[in-house]
Amino acid sequence: MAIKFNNVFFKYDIDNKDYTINNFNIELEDNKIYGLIGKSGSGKTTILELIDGLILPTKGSIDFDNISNIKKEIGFIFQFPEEQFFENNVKKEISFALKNFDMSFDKLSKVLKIVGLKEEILNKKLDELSNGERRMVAIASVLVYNPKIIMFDEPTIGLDYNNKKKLIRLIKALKDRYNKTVIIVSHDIDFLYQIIDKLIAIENGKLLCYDEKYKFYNNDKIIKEHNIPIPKILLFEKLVEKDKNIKLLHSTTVNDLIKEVYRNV
Amino acid sequence: MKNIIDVDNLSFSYKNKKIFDKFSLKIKEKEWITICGKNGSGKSTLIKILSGLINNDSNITICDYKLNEKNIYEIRKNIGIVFDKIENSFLCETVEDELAFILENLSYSKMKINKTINDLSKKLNITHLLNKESNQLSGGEKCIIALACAIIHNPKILIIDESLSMIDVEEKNNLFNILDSLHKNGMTIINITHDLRESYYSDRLLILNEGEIMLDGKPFDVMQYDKILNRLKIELPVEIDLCIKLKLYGLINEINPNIKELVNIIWQ
Repeated sequence: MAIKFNNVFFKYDIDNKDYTINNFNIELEDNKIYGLIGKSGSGKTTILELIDGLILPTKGSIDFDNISNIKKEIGFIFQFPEEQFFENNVKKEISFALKNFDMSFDKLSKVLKIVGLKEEILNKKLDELSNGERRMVAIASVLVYNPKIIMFDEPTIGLDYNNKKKLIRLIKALKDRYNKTVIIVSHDIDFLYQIIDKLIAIENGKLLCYDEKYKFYNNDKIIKEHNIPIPKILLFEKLVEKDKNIKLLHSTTVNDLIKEVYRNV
Repeated sequence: MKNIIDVDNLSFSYKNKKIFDKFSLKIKEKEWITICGKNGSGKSTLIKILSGLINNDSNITICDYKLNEKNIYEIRKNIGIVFDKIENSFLCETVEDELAFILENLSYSKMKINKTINDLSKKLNITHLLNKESNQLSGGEKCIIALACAIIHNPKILIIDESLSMIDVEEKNNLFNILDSLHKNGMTIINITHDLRESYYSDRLLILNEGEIMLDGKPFDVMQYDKILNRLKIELPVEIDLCIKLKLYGLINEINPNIKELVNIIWQ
C-alpha cells in the first residue's frame, strides 16, 4: 500500500456547509499508474493537493507507506507549469529542489535525458520555452529529487502530438523502469487508456468507482448512470461484442485495433 | 454571404522572427471556423491582431470597420473573446459581478443586467456559480464562466482561444450544443484549438503552420490528409485515425466518427 485515505473530508471554507471531498476512502498500491477522472469541480485536483500535503484533511487521515518526508517523496506537476516555477532560468529552476533538499547536482544531466531535453536548454529563460518544453522542465524539476510518487494534473493540455507521445513514453518508463507510483488527473480518456493500470472515478467529492481499467469499464450501470465517458477504442470493442457477438482482443492503440478488426471481418 | 472578417496581406514579425508574411484570410458572416496548428504556428498571434491587442498597419476589416485605433471600440463591441490564460481574465469578486461588469461597460440598465445574467445562467446551467469567487472555481468551471462573459452581450463574433481543453467531455458536449444554437442564430464562431474533435460542429477547418494556411476546407475532408497532419504534429482523434485506416484497407468508404455506425458498416 502506497497511500491510504481514511474517511477523509475536506472543505476550503470552514464556514461552508458543503464538503469538497466527502468521506473519501481508497487504498492505492505501489508501482501502478492511476487515472483519476470526474466532472469539473468533482474534487480531482483537491485529492492531489491532499496527497501532496498542500492542504490538510478537515476530518479523517491519509496514511503513507514508507514515506517519512512528503515534500521529498511526492512530486506534483501542476495544470499550469508556470504556477510552480520559482526561478526564471531553466537550470536554476531544475536545481531548486536539489538546493532545498541538499542533494547532489550531478543528477541534472540524467534527468534532462529522461525527459528528452537537451543540455542547451539549461541556459534558457523559462518564458522563452514552448508549452511542451515548459511541461518537460516542470517534470524534470520534480524528477530531479527522485520522489516515490509522481502526480500529474491535466498534463496533456496545450501539448502537441509529438510532445504527447513523449509524455506517454515517459510515464510508462516512470513505472516500468524507475518503479514510481503515478497518479494522473485528466479529461483525456483516450490518452489515459493507453497508460493506466487502474481508474478512479470521483463525483461530488465522493469515490464513485475504483478498479483495474477493463473491470472498471465493465460496470455498465455506473458508466451509464453517471455518464462516464468511454475511451473510443474500448467503445468500439464493446459495441462489436454487444451488437455483433464478436470478442476482439483488447487494444490500446488504433494500429492494434485495426489488426483485430481485420482478423475478425 | 459577405465577409465579416477580411485579412488582406498581413505581415507581422516579433523579436526579429517573421510570424506572418502576406497572410490573407476571409471569414464569412455566420461561419463557424476551427483553426488548428501546433504551438508557434501563429494562431494566438492572429487573434491578438484581430482583437487589436497587437497593433498592426495591415489591411484588416472586421464587421465593415477597418481595424485601426479609431474603430477599435466599435469593433470590440461586436466581438467576444475567451483567451487561453483564463486565470488572468477575471477582474471582479464574484461570477455575478464579473458578468455584470461587462454589461455595465456597455451601459445596460440595472434591470436589463439582472435579466440578461438570469437568462444566460439558466442557459449555461451556471446559476449555482453566480455567488462564487473566481478562485473557488475549478478549472472547468472557469472555462464556462469565461465563455459566459464572452457571449453575455450577444456579440456578432465569438473567438475561443484554446480555452476549452479543461472541460470534461459531458460539459464540452453541452457547451458545443449551446455554441451550435448561437451559431444557428447567426453568430460567427472562430475556435482555436489543438483538439480536432472540436471541429466536428464547424463549417470549416483551417490548419496553420508557421503563419501559413496549409489546409482549408470541410473538417472531415481536411482530416483525411493524415500524413500532412502528422508531419505538422497535429493529432487526429482516435475515431478519425481509425476511419482513415479502415478506409485504406477497403473496409469502409467514408469517414464517420460515430463508432456505432462504423461497427454496423464494417459488419453489415
